[in-house]
Amino acid sequence: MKIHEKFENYCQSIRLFLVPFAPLVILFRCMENIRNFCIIAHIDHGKSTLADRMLEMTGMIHTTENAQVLDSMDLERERGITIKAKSVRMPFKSQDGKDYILNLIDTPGHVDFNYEVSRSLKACEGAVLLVDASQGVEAQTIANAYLAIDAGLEIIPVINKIDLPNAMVEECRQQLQDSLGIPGKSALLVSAKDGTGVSELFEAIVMLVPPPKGSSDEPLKCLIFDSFYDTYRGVIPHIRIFSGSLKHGDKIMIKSTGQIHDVDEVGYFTPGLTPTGQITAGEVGYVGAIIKKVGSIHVGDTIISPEHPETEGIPGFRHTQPMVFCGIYPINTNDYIKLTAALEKFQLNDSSIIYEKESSAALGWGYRLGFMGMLHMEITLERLKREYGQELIATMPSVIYKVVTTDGQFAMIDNPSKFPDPTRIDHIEEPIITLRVFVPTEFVGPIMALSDEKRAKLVAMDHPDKKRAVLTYEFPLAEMITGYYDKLKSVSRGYASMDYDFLGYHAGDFVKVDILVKENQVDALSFISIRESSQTKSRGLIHKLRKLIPRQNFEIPLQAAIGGKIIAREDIVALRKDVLAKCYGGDITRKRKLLEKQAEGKKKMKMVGSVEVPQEAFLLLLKMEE
Amino acid sequence: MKGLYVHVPFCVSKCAYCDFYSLLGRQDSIESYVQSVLREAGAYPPSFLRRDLKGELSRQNPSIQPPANEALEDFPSAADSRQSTYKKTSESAQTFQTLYLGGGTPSLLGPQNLTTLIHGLLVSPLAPCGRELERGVTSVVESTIEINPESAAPEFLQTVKNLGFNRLSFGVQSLSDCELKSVGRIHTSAQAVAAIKQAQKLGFKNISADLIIGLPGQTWTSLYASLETLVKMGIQHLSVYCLALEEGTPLAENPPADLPSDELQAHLFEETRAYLISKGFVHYEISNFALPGFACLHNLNYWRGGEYLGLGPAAASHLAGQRFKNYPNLDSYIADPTGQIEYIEELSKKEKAAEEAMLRLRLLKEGLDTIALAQKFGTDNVEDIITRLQKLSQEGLLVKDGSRFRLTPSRIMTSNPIFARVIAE
Ligand SMILES: Nc1nc2c(ncn2[C@@H]2O[C@H](COP(=O)(O)OP(=O)(O)OP(=O)(O)O)[C@@H](O)[C@H]2O)c(=O)[nH]1
Ligand code: SF4
Ligand SMILES: [Mg+2]
Repeated sequence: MKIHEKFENYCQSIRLFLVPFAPLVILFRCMENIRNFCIIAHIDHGKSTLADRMLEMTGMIHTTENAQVLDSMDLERERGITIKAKSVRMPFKSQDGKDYILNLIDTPGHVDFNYEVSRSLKACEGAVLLVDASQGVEAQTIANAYLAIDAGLEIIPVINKIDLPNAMVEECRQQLQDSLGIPGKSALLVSAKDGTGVSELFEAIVMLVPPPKGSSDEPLKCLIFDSFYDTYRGVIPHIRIFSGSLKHGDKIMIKSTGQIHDVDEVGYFTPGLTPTGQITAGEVGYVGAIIKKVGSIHVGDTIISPEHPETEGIPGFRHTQPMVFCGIYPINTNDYIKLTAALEKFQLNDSSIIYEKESSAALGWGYRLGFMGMLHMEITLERLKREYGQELIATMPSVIYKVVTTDGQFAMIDNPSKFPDPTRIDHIEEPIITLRVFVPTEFVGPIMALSDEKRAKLVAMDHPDKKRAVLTYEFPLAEMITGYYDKLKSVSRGYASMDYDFLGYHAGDFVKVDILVKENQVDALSFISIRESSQTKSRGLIHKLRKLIPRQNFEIPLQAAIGGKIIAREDIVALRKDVLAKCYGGDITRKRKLLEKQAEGKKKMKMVGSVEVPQEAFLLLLKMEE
Repeated sequence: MKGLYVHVPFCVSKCAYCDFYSLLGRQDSIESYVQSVLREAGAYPPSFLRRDLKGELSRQNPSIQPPANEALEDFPSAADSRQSTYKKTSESAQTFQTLYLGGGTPSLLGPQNLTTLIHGLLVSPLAPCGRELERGVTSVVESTIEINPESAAPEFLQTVKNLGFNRLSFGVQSLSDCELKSVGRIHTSAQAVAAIKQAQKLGFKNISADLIIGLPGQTWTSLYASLETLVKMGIQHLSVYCLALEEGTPLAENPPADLPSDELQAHLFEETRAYLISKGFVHYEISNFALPGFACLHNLNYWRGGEYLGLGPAAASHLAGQRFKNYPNLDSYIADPTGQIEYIEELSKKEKAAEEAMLRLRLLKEGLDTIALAQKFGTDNVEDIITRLQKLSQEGLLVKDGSRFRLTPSRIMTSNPIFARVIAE
């Protein structure tokens, strides 16, 4: 049945249903008038802007001065992207005169933050699927739509940005049909920018998205789909109540650990935390229970009532499979404990990162972190710095290699410095992904050329319609983390999008390259490369290092070596002139400020033997390919 | 207060490396500028400091004031000839003992305006020894004026002499016409030599020249020629600066290809130092060389963390432990010379102590005496600094001599990282 037909039928059935049972409906109102939905789309298709309009039309916000109000994190505002999914509850009076409670979750579109989407879906019954009318269906349109379909959500297709002169509404309808089997005709036309079509979208949401199931009379059962740490109130889980209800003074039990806590506050998002008397089945909200012990609660856990310990847990979330790893170390070795605490709290708000203790001869104690991709890594490091005040050094990102030793054993190694001695290695395998690149046909050539450079193997090329191609590659993940995505965007003038899954491990001719700074091997700078390009890479890296490490009072040789063999070398000559020998008159302040700035810079240096290495040396190397 | 600085913000043309506050084509404002300087001097002390200074004057706190004769101790010949005047004037913290006219180009003032300025200063509340107008600035221990060779007309130098100035600082920069031209200096080497000779003829016995290391195309041969000529002429003082590419200057925007590398600059500096020392000069401050007894007292006061008042737009001051600075704006200065303070810097005692340590370490001979520092700022405030100094001396970056620390001579050209560690670790 086509969606619009379904829509009609649905309205009809509700009307028919309501007439004879009018008195009963009042009893069920709690559930019947709730709609939980999320907005999903490819990056930049206008999810957060649509959320703005919805908040405005329901009177939650008054002005439109701040675009994308739900992107409240500084980093989100700076980059103009959504990083965290955000819930907000809105009252809505439909045209039929009834009052509804709508709970909207705005999700991020970037593939690295996909886990935010899949968790949000669990709290919803419907999903508004946006397609940018000027871009058409892109990789994450498809990936996110499938996630929602698999989660059993009602999909409401919406074509956005119809105000744009280059809007191609008909093509979008066709693409929805062809790529997803969604009846394109039923797609609503919206401009999140000027508000066109948003009232109709509201009506469609209340009509099409089913109200939540479950009853407040049954024992308590809630899913923790997100959380954060508040210094005063401890861990604050974001929850979707599937049955039962919660209020101040209740006792709750964490199903996985059996721990019991006293509820101190319950409420919902407006999008700030707004306390309320109680929240009941079907609703999305938060619960505060002064849970100060950070490790005691996890996203994906079920909250139940201690009176009904037998209540079954809700299946949690699939575990994320990090793609990229890097080491992080406090600049000041003594800050390791603080870093540990920061990571524990950070993980509450981003359950897709994984971390594990590690140590480096050059950098001391730290952690190895796993991320969903390079943007995720960049954002995480920046958040740790800004929100948790951590001054960190991050090492070069790496993938997990499978190292098969001569004794027939194998080890999965995510840190190049942990590689066994070359003589003990039989062979090394690298992770391969299936990469799908969606691109207008005119860019197929440049994309194939770019991918060839990256050792990609083309396995299929499809044409979902005349204008677009989907290239499917077997692609080495290691090549993905050295700037492939940025280049893909630039060779296709922004039109290409991509999506990937893990495929498996393939053997290759790999070597481990060590970097020596003034004869000291810096384990944190070791990297894995295919033999063929190891020398070019090493030269590039050494050259970059030479520019990054400031001159010091002595000469500093920089070398790259495989085993004991030097394959690249450059020297940093000794510092010869750094002096204030200028006539400043009595302007001592200026002099002092110059020196203070230098002293400030020094604090960000890490000692490698006798050499001061700036922290950027460890991070900037990841851009080695450019 | 020990020093009085007057900033004269006029120039005929802008040198390619210059980021000092100076204006072209504004000579018509010189007269009103001079009147404004006198108004600023007349309003001394600045209102925000009036209370502080009174307190300080009545306390006469000896531990805050360096010993009265410290300025002279390393330079016995100067001490002999000037001791008596110095002692007499040092009594009052409100008047100055050294005067320095810098710029810009003070020699652009011309005889008339210079006379008005100096006479005005000598009847101002700042005047030393109860307004001894008839004695001119000879009642000041040291009075310097910067002179650019092209504006050193004999009658101007004569006026300078008559007004009692006892020290001249010539903006020579180089005696290679090529080098001068390459950075847009508008005088020739011949003009510079002639101006110095004229000054000597008039009886000036304390003459300094500025030289720049790192000019485009400069070599040791060309620099040596400049140095040798100046030394042979018998000048008493040389300030040797390193060319800095300051943001926004034409030189920084379009650096010429033949700018000497850091290596070459360091080499030129080492050679210069060796040469001047061989000729009897004392390398008393990173950029300054003097024959014994001819160190610049006005500048020594800066390096010793001393107090001074700066008059004129963009002039910096250090009074009652606070540093402040006038706006770099001639027009607003002329309109309201006493309302020009751009910022007042508030530093803690610890920060002041670190600042003074950094400044005093620039004095290569005198160095930094930690006992005196502790006396001035309190032991608690200098403990950390001393620990850092000790570490630096263990690393060979400073030389320790009892309670005194000095910069290791071979580290002069790379002293910034050392000073940065003195200020904070
Ligand atoms: N012209 C036009 N521009 C729109 C419309 N909707 C959104 N935009 C613009 O598209 C850009 C991206 O909008 P966002 O709302 O941040 O997109 P998003 O889908 O939330 O992006 P991510 O959260 O990063 O995935 C912004 O510059 C918006 O102003 C629309 O209807 N018309
Ligand atoms: S003469 Fe001095 S102040 Fe004037 S422009 Fe040249 S360097 Fe600058
Ligand atoms: Mg968004």
